[in-house]
Amino acid sequence: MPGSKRFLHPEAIKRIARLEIRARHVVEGFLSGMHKSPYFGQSVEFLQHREYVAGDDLRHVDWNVWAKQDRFYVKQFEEETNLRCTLLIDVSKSMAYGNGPFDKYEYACTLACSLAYLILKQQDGVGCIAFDEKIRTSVPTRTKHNHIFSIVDALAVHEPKDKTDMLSILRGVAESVSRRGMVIVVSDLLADRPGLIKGLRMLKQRGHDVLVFHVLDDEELDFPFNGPTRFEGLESVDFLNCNPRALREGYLAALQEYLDEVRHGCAKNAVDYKLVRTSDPLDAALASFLSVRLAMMNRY
Amino acid sequence: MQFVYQALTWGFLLALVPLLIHLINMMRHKRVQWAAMEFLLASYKKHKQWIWLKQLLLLLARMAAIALLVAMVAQLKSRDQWIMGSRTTHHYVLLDDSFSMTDRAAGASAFDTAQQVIANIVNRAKQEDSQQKLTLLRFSQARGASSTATPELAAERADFNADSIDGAFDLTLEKKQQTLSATALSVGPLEALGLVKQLLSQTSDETSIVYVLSDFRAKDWANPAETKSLLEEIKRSKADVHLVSCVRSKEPNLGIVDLAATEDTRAAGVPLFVNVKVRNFGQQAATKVQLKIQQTFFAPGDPKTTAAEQLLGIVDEVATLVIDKIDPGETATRRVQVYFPQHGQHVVEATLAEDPVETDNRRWCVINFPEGERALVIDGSDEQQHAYYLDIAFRPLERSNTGIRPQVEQVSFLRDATLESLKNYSAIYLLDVRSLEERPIALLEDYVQAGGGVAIFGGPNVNVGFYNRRLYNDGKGWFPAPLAAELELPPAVDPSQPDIELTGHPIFSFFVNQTSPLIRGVKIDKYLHVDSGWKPAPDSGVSILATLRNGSPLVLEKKVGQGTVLAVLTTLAPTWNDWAKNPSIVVTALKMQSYLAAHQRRDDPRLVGTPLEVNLPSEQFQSNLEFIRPGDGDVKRVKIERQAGEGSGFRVQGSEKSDLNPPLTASLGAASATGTISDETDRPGVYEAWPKTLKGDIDLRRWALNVDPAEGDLTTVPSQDLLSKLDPVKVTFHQADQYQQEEAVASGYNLSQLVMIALVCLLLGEQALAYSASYHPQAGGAR
Repeated sequence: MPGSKRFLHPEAIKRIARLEIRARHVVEGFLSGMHKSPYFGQSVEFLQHREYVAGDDLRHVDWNVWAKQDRFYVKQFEEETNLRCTLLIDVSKSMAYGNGPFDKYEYACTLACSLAYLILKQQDGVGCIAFDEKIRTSVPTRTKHNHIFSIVDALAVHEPKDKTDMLSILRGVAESVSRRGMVIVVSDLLADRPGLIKGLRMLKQRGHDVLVFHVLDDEELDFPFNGPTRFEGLESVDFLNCNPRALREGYLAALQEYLDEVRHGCAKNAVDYKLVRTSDPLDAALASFLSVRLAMMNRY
Repeated sequence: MQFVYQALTWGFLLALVPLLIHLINMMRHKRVQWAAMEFLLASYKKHKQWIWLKQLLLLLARMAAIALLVAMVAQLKSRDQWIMGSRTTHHYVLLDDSFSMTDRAAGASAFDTAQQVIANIVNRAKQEDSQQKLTLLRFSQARGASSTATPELAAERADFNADSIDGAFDLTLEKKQQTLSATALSVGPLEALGLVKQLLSQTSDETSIVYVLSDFRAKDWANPAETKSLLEEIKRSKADVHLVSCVRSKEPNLGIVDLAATEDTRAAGVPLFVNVKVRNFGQQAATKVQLKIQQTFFAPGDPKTTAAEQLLGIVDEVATLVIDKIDPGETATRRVQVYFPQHGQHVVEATLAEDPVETDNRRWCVINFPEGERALVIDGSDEQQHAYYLDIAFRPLERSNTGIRPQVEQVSFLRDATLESLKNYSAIYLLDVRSLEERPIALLEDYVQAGGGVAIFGGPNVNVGFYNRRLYNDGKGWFPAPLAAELELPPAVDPSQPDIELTGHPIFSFFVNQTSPLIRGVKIDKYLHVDSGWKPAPDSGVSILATLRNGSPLVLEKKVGQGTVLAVLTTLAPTWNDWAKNPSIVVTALKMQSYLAAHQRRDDPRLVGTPLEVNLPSEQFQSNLEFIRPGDGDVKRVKIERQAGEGSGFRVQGSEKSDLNPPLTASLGAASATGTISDETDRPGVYEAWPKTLKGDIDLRRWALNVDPAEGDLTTVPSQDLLSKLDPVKVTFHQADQYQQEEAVASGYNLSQLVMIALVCLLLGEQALAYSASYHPQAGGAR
């Protein structure tokens, strides 16, 4: 299976496996596992009392409390369930850029597969959506261990093309994924920024825990070009003949402004954001992200 | 604005390289498929005009930097008056025209190179904005000028004297240069520097540059003490001094350094040996050196029948010698025999094969062959037996011709003689003369003082007391030693021991070199003993030429004035000895005659450039005469006529005095009364004067004027040595080949330093501009 070998770099996955993904919030799940479920139901672990309202299941009424206080309270239990994680992989044309070992697309796929493998190893469910202007491929969420191969196959068959339409994609995902869970977006986010922020907000509003891996190439971040160059847009027909050294300062300023805006939008909507360079080691990128996430979860 | 290295100004085209690179790059864009066009376009839109401006400035800065770099390398100069001021620049060029400057290498002589340097100096000067003047003075024109010469004399001697260098000066210089050539003289820089010093003393408001164009031979520059002091004075006049060496390479040179007849008796019909010396001035041994000797015979009657300019004589090639090898610095001497059947002043010429310096490859000598050498023999004996044997010695065989014409006279002959009449004799022999009267004593002393030779032989008639008192006179007289008495020489204990012990004196050197000389068999019975304890004083001019076996002096010599007195303290006739019966007497007598008459035979070697002066008694000679000097090319003889009162070369001394017989003095090659140098005797060769007597007879006089052989030594002084010897006088030394550039550096104001500073500033500005235009990216990018 060349696809799996292509994206599942065993060395990287082995190192990530030592870390634990601990979801900040309880996600719906069918199976009991390590993660706390956001749903309240039959469980061994009592969570809290709540005053009875019409419609509540009478089986949950704590009669001991009624006997002592003559009031109806229902018992709520914390339910442990599976994490349902949806990976959104940007396969637009802009992801084809990269001069290092990986272009952004390859890096994103590798990262996505690594996450999928990790999630499946924890008995959680993972699904995958590849998108550009529209959803190109959708792999449903499964918990089977060999489900990773479906994800790998789905990513391997697609070459980057077309533009990115983040808003419609994120809206579609928000509407189609009914159960709350984790949505991991792997993209260069070179798209309409208000649409991006809006889409992320919609996912949050649906109760998803959203992680954004912002994948950019070193050259995009450092702009080390020298000598007269003709830049031709990957997702547009724009081109520019210039001496890149002269434009570098302005470019970096504009890029920094964009990154700041994205960071700010994510932070505002409680979306975890991680800027990843294609030269960064995969494990390091994931580890740093998950460490941040764990720290946030512990605060709750 | 000018450049020292004009050829490098093509480098300014390199300033277009940045533009060219820019255009090429415009055509050779690297294509990049770029995702983040949004930010790039935003940056471009925001900084578009500023970027264009910066890039334009950067391009211009780089083009300017290259232009400045080229200007710096090509050495930008300015002659703008705001930098240089408006002072007149006066170029004093001192040109060495001695014959060592004819040293030819690669088809061009050092003198040609010097001429080129002068042309370069003038060309450069023409391009100056300020007024330029040229003074050109040749070494040969400065000769004879004393250190106290007036500036007027210096101006008179100069070829150009403060001539303005204007547009037409090129032509003037070219015409002048066509008339200039290296002379055959050997002249140093001293007089020329002295004259320039005088000229510099006249000017105070000029920028003076003194150029010495020379070959800087060791002969003139190895010990430049006087030169140094002159240069010091010139430097004190605030003149820049440039020494320009016009020699391209070290060339080998052979030169004839001497050509002279031996001291033997000269007479018509008597063969004579001539010594010729060839010196190798080069650094390597010379082999198979060909030396041609030829003689020119002038018949005595020719001047009457032939015009002066057509008298060529009969030229015979005497020999062509081949000298196998002459080591560097060595002198080879060869001897050839010449023969002239009739009396007269005949010429011998030696010629070497062609080499870098031609001038010293020919040499001439004029040998005066009289009909015979007259010798006065005064015999004091009654039978005149001494004279008889001397006469036999001078004419040993019936047909042999020694050239000596003895005239035997009594002692009384001296009573009526005059100094002039005695001067007709090449030597005087006093044989066993008892005594002399006062007048002959003084006459003989004058004769010896004037260069005559007197030989005195002893004998039984000699009055010892008279000799001691009047002739020796406690060493003040002309007799060499005080005499005691006649003594008998005791028989020898060893019969093989010769009675006469000889020294290496020229009279006896012939015997010294013989393994078994006949003179060893001469027996001396009696002799005149000198005072016991007498020894020749070191500064008395007395020397002992031969002694007896008992140590007593036998032959003594005393130098008196220019002449020589020989005393032989035994008889010439076989009275006290048997010498006259021994064949060695012939050799001894001939050698003695040759030695005594040497001064009168002495040739008159002269160097080229020496004025020839003829003194003539006005009562015997006409006032007009002709000089002949060597010509050039086909014209072998050039006639110069002199008339009294006409021209500077002819003077009548004492004509305004009341002297009844004022002597006439005619000269050739002498400086005029105003100090103008004459070049009439500057050519080596044979010169003649043809004075005419009032009867119309020609009293022809002939001289050989040769070059100074030392000038042929082409050894140069290395520049470092010369500069260290001239230290602390600051002069600049140049090689002529490199001079054109260096001269340009020296004149005008070199802006290289300013250009370099501007270049550094521009490069710093360019870097700042490049930095501001993000051409120096900082590490890292957006985060």
